[in-house]
Amino acid sequence: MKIKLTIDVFSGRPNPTLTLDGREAKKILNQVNLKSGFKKNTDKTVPEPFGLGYRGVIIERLDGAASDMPTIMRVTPDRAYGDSNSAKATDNEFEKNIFDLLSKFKDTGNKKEFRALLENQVKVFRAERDELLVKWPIDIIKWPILNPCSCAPDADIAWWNDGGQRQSNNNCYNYASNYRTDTFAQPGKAAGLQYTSLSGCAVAAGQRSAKAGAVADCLIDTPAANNVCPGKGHLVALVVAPGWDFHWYRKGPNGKWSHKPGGTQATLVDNSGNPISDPRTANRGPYTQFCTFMQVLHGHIKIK
Amino acid sequence: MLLFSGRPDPEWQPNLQVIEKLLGYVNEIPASEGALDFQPPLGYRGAIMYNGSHSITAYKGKLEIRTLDTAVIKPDKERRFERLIIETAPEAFRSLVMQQFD
Repeated sequence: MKIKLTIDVFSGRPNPTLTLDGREAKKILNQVNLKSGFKKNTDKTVPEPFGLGYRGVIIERLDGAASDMPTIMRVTPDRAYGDSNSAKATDNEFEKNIFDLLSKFKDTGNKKEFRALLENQVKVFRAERDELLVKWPIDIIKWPILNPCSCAPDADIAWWNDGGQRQSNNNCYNYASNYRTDTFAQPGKAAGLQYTSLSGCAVAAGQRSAKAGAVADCLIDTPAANNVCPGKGHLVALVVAPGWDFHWYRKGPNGKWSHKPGGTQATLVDNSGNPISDPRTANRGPYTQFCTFMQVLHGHIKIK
Repeated sequence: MLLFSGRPDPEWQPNLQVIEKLLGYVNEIPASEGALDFQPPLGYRGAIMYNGSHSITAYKGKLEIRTLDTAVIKPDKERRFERLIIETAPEAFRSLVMQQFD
């Protein structure tokens, strides 16, 4: 048996960790005193700690999953969490057992100072957690979404059109996904699954389309978006000039679309010089096939 | 060649004879007024010859000669300069351009 313990306390610095095996690992697992089995979390489940400061101890099984607990589990004084499940825990000062091993942990900095900081953090955490347990479940007010495009990036034309490296080394895919790579990004390249055919939106069996490449980069295909912004992230659109190229547009917070043709300037207009309210009906020159709308969740995608 | 959006634009090096011919042609033409015509964002939008510090953009009967701090417009009658550049392009790109050359 082999486990990795992580004291989840930092945000920017790496958290202190310790790997144990054999009897020591087994001992730690036995000290996790659960009052129930793991069940699927619901809206009524007290949420996993998410704030700044101490957030519990993470136990990761390095030798595979066990039937009765998740492979990666966060233990707090009142609950253990893992894989969208959780179980009630007995407050048996589990942390204390962990802190007794502090001298063996990596990334703690000065051990004495760290221990003092940690003990203080745990006190604060327990007090806040107790307050939360009394209040939970809280009725969450769902606010109406006033402008569904408010999360979309501005067209930011001047920034992209620097007339230099930024403009010439970033193409329509970079601009649409709002992700500067300076590599003239290609759909699927970051995932090792770049498109292999641009014959159209759909390609022959055994070939990979630009859309499939984008999906591999973690863009989300939303063919039914119908020009409506998603609740999260922003909307982009893929078109193809059959046989020779692909092109992307992005929808801004004002509902208008913009695009950056290759290494040339980003622009708000189509080939007729008109503002673009819907890329499906815009003058797209040779990019005659409209493929799909896709959603970009900021921070989720990776392009190259 | 200003042609693609997603893929990198095609670039190639014409032979010295062609370069001398193109430059000789440009040097003989007097400067004129105006600016390049509207280049549509998508599809073929001109041919550029450049050497790092100078560039000559040819599009729809006009040439724009640029250095780091100057820009001069010259006429390109019958799109001679533009056609000459296109003629030297790799075949696959030449045919794509000619489909959109109006």
